[in-house]
Parts: sequence; structure tokens; C-alpha cells
Amino acid sequence: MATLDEFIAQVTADVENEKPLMKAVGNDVIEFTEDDYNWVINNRANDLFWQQENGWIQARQDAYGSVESQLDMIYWDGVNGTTTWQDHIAQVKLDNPKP
Amino acid sequence: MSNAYVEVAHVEVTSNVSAVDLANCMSSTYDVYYLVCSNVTLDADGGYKVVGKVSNVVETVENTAVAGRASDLGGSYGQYNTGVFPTPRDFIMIQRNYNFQTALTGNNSVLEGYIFNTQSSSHNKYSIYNNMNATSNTTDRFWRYRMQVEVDNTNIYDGLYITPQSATNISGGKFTLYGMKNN
Repeated sequence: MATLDEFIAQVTADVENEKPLMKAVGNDVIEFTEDDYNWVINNRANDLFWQQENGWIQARQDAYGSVESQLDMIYWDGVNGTTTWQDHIAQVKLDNPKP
Repeated sequence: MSNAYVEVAHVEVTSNVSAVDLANCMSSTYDVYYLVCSNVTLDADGGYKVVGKVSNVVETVENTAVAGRASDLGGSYGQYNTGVFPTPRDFIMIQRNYNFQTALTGNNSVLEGYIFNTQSSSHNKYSIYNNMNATSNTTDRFWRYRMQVEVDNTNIYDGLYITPQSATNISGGKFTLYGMKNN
């Protein structure tokens, strides 16, 4: 697990290798200013840190499916004596482990 | 014409850039702004965000609040609040992570919506907007987000700054900002 400072160091090195970064301003394409570089480094590093810390939550939420579809699974599990819903939830958790 | 939308800035990206800088395009001439970002493609998966500029400097606040609802014809949908959005939450609009890669065929996305209070020094900044992603990467899925954002500060915006959330470059798209007069 990397710290935010470690991500900042990593992204700073990445951006250094990517230079020059360009931006579109009106009809012109010009190189980033120093403020632009600093901003994008902070932005990318924070995003990486957030993905590391919280990405699994978002991935699980996306994979669980709608409440309606889960209720349908639970209903039919009750009717048929199956464990489709429980298996589905377990698989989502397995596929997206908490770090 | 009263209540007319007037184009105040337009950028068309046709080759890789790491940001779209809509600089010095907001003023007291207009009360409400309407931003349209269409057919945006990135050089890697991930979303992009729109951040306010104050005195031509990109905001670095981390106190944006988000609420909204997502619909996905591919299956799931859900309600979202601040918890599922990355920090720093400095954006006034965001197109959440999805497939924007140029390699994917059939990509077609729109982010469009209103930004309020940009010229007020006594009110927080608000937006209400739609995200729509139609992509044929898997099973012709169509995603739609109806989102609201509050940026919890009263700085006066004079521009907007648009950057990928995790990709390096915006490789294509049209970005148009309209101003709306109130009389």
C-alpha cells in the first residue's frame, strides 16, 4: 500500500517523462505552465491513492446489480431452495477484495 | 434575444492534449452557464472532470458534494453520493469512469448541464448535468447519470479547466460553453 506522498513522487516522475504536456486553449495548443504541471500531478496522485483505498467499494457497488434484480434472486432462491443471490454476492466480494 | 444561450468558448480537440483550458471566458455578463462536452475520447479508460478557475488559476478545493443517480441499460443502476467519487473533489462536473478509449468502437458520450452562481461571491457553486455514455465495448450498453454537484465555496469563476481523471490525454471531443442572460 503506497502513501499519497509516494504516489506524488511516482506521478512526478511519470509526468517528467511525459513532458511536454499540452493543453488546448481556444484554437491553440500550448505547453502546460508550471501551475498546470503541479495541478495535474496532484490530481493524478490523489486519484491513484483514492483508487487504492476505495476502488474496491466502487467496483462492488457496480457489480452487485440493482436492488430489484437482487430481490428477484432472493425470491426465486426462496421458491427453489437455491443460493443464487448468496453466491452472487460472495463472488462479487471475492472478485473485488478489500485491500 | 432574452434568455438566449450565447457561445462564449469553444474548443475542438483533434489530437492529444492533457487539458482543455477554457480560460477567461466567464464574466458578469451572464448569470448561468451551460457546458456541453461531446464525443470525448481519452487515451485510456477513465473519466474526466471539469474544475472551476479563479483568477485564471485552477481551483484546488476538496469539498465538493455530489449526489445523483445512474442508469445502465446493461443491468445495474444506483444512487451515488460523495462517497463513491475520488478525491480531491474539486470538480463542478465529472464524467465518471467508463470506457472512453479511442480503441473502443461505437464510443459516443455527452456531458452537458448547467453551472450556477459562477459570478456570486456570496453563494456556493452548483451544477446539474447529465452524463450519457453509449458504447459497444460489451453488449451495447447505455449509461446515464443525472448528477448534482455543490462546490462549497464562494469564489468567482472566470473559466473552466477540463482534465482526464486518470488517463493522460484527451484525444478528441468538442467542448462548448454557453452563457445565458437573465433578461
